Amino acid sequence: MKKYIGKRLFQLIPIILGITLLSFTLMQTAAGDAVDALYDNSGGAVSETIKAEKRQELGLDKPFLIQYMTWLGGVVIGDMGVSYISNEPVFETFVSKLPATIFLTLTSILLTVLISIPFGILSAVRHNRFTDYLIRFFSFIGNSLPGFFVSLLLIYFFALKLKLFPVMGNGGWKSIVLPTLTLAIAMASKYTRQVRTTVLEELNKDYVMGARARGVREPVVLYASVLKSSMLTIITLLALSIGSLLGGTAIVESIFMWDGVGKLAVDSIMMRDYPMIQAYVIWMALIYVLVNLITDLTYHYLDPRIRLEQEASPWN
Amino acid sequence: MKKKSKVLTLMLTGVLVAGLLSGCRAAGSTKSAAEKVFNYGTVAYSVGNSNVGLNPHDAYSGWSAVRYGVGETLFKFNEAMELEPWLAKDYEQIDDYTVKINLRDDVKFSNGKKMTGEAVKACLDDLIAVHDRAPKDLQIKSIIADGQSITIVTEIKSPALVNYLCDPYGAIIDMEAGVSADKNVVGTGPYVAKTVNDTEINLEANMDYWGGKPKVGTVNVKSITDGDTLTMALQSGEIDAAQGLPYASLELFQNNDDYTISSTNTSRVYQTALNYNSAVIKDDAVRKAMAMSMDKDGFTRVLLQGNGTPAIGPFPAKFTFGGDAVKAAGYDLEGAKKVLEAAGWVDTDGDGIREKNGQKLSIKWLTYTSRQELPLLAESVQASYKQVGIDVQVNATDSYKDFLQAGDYDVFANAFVTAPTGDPQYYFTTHVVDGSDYNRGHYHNDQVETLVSQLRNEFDTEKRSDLAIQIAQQVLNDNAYIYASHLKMSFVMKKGVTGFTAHPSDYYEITANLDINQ
Amino acid sequence: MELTTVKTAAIKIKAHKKQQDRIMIKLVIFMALVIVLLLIAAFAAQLVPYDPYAQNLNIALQPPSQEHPLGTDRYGRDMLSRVMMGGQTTIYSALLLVGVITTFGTLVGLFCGYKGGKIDSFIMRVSDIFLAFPGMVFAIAVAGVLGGGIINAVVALACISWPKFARLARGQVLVIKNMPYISAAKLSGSRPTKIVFKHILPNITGPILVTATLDIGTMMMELAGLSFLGLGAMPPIAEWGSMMSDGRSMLQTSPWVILAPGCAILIAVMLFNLLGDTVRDVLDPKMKKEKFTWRRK
Repeated sequence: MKKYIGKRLFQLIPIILGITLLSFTLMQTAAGDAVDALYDNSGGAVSETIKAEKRQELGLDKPFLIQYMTWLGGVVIGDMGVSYISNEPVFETFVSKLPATIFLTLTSILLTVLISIPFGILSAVRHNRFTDYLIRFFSFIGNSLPGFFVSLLLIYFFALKLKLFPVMGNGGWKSIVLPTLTLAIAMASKYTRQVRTTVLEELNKDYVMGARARGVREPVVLYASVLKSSMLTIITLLALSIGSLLGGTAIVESIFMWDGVGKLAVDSIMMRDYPMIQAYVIWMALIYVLVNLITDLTYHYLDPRIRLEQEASPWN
Repeated sequence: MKKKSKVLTLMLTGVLVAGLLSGCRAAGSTKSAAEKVFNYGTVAYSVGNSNVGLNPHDAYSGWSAVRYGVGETLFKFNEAMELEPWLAKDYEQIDDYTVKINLRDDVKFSNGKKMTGEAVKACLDDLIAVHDRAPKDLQIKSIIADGQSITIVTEIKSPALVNYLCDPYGAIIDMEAGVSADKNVVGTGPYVAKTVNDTEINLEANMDYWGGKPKVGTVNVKSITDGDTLTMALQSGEIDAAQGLPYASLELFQNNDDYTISSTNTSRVYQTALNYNSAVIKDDAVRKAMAMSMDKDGFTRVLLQGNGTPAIGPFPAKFTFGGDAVKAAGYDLEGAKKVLEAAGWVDTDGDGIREKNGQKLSIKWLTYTSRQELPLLAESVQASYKQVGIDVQVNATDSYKDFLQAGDYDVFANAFVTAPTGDPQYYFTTHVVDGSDYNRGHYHNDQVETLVSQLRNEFDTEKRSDLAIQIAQQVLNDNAYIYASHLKMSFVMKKGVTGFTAHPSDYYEITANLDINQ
Repeated sequence: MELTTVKTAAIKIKAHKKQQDRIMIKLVIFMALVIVLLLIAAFAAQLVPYDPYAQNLNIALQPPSQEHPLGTDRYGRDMLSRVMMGGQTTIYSALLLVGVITTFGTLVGLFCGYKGGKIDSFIMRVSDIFLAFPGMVFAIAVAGVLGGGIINAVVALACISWPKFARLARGQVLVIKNMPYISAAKLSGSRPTKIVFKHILPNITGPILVTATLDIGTMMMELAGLSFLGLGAMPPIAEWGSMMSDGRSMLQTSPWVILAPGCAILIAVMLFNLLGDTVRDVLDPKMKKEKFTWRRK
């Protein structure tokens, strides 16, 4: 196990280097001249000599790889430069908004679990019957609507027509309901189907047939055997969705005025605030990689057989 | 399953009843000033607008200080955009380079300190030391404070100095109290900020305000940058008033007894600069045809849904030098076609686009999307220009600055406040003279150069106005710029909100007059 | 005892047969519907009742009527024509995107899986890097570099989506590679390209085809998401995502402007998903392992 963890951690290094190099290159290409951008946004016209001095100060006259290394060194100690727009340190701004996003992510995961597991099981148990069709129908719809459209519909019905929840974020516990719901609808639609598939598969296995043949009661079969063995898969799926949710909150956050990193990212895109976008890209990628790693390790710990199977799986 | 739904119904009903009851209670009582709370949602306060915080000496944050009743300037504009004293009593122009400003005697900062000449000098000294735009505008050489007056000497003749002091960066703050870490300041206005951050400002009434007691105890300014969220927050009652609603939503509040709307015409114009460096645009006939083919009326009436006035020149009708003081070609597609034909632009290959000497009449239209009206203008022009045989390639991007720098455009369409100080000079010195900051069309006209330099040295208001008309007319004759429409700005508020009116300068929003009557 | 087992087995087979038939019927129906959708989109230019780009400000924002069954937008353009034309942009962009990533990803996966060794692990690490970016985030970064536009949005999404197919194909190759018939082919002296394309590829097309079909819907939604952020289709091009984000402030005043493209997206995505599900059932009812296919936004 230790050896495995060590190996996985070692594998992480090139990935992290790759992520940072790729996003650094992308942003360098996108942003054009950082000094021009800096002064352009601060309004005044500045002479070329001052710009050249600033370039030297920022080390922008050095070769690309040196610039990258310097920048990477900064990232490690939490220095990701200064926002072009607000002139605030990027890292601090980002960290201050991260908790809101994590909170939203967790509530969405929770709601996703609360919706998808019961409905997924129900759908599997009632395979090809009315309930199954109904659940699948709704999961199809939930899966086929863009997030921003769902948000608008939810606000319209729950905040305007029923006046149950507020439109905007950060106003007490009620304000998290609608953004959570928006995110959870899309996720739950997907996972309900996957839970259904997993449970169905398990239900078709020989041991279930055997248990049934021995006269074990259906609820016991379901809860004691099937659920237990399907849970592993389901938990992995959910853990992995944390990563995808962290990235997927951007649009929802900006619609609900939820003051998290997603909204920060969308705002930064609109204003071409490259240092901020860069921070967002890198941190989201790092969090995603970490969550995947932890999931893998847990998986590995729970079920060592996976090791073999994993080699052939799309993710290892 | 059935049981569950019953429980759910009961719960929902319970929540609804509770909601109704609490709603009734609130409506039944009359509140004292201290109890009144005004929640204000605006699209204008955001990091993107470079106006977060309240420090007038930082970027555009002065706008926030003045808009939300924290800071005040020495002079202000009235509804007709004429100068009025505010913290100052009056001023005397001692010579071409010297102005003496007499201050009010009864003004206190919100921390109780008196506003003296020394305090104002300290504030303005800091302004020109640290601000990016102010030193260039004001050209201040020295300030001398003497009791309740200050005397300002300028480097160059500065006829518009007092106008410039009305810019929100001129808000007077107590420099001894300084600027806090969260960008809060001590001003003289009717409200004092308790907390300030990037998305919200919480204000409390300044009960010792020199201009009378504010009528509302608490004001919360919330940044709501998404237009639909803003609309629905107003509808759901989470906010009492909104600024910057999408045009499409204004309809929901018009002719609705639960809301009142306050609108005003501003000097924000949607304009297009035609790039003289482009071979096609250089052709006088092309520019003329373009000016004639823009359906300003349709754009304003339908796409802005009436929230504006079709523009002729750079300034709106409110100013003596604006509105129909100048003349421009009217919307005339047939006329435009004739102009192009006469100049040799004909469609030879039958694709609907004209050519001349093998050159296609295709123009690159550069604009950006952060102002919702600009893409609409581009798309509407695209259709009408096509009818006269001009192909328009729209490039609506928020990295438009890169394209500007590369010179990769034939037309640049933007929004600009042409007379933020009530004076025409600012627009001309930034847009039409050689090498000026925003002369995106690289326009040059000797006559215009002469007239603008006259304007720079002219102190007589009437003569300034005449000069402004002559310059604007020359620009229009050359078709260097096409002006589409002047924006009408609207505040929408719940019925019962009073003293909250849209001002043509876009500077003043929350004042001591704000009140809520239930 | 013996007899009952045989009996149940027989019943099972019968039931299985019946189920197979039903799946085939479903397949035919969904296939037909998708083909209709594709045809409408393909011939939109010929089928539209009005020019989808012709403006007439005098009839702006008219509710659905006989002349304009889906109403008009704020430029007075016919919504039905725009939705049809938008289908062309949206569906074919998604198809192009899925086609590119499937082909490219599969080829990479085949190569890596078959070749193995250092080059394999290098390419897999590279794909790890791409996979590590939350999809939308990377797309935003790429679109930021290239600027807006539907083609750039497609490129951006392609960058982050190909590794999924590479991994899927590689995983399948690893399983098949050690099967006796491959060893046999190797022993008989077949060239590697022949083994890969003749013996391995046909055996892995199933799962790839299913994933690809299911991806069409997802990609349409992601393109719509990018359009919402202003990084997708440029005006005046009709595209469902940008039409929706363009009309979203009119949800209350002129709902048809947003509902028309919204329903179009809903129907199209659902059809492609249903088709994908059915194709999966047809190809291998047991191949329902979705364990390792997750979608990222």
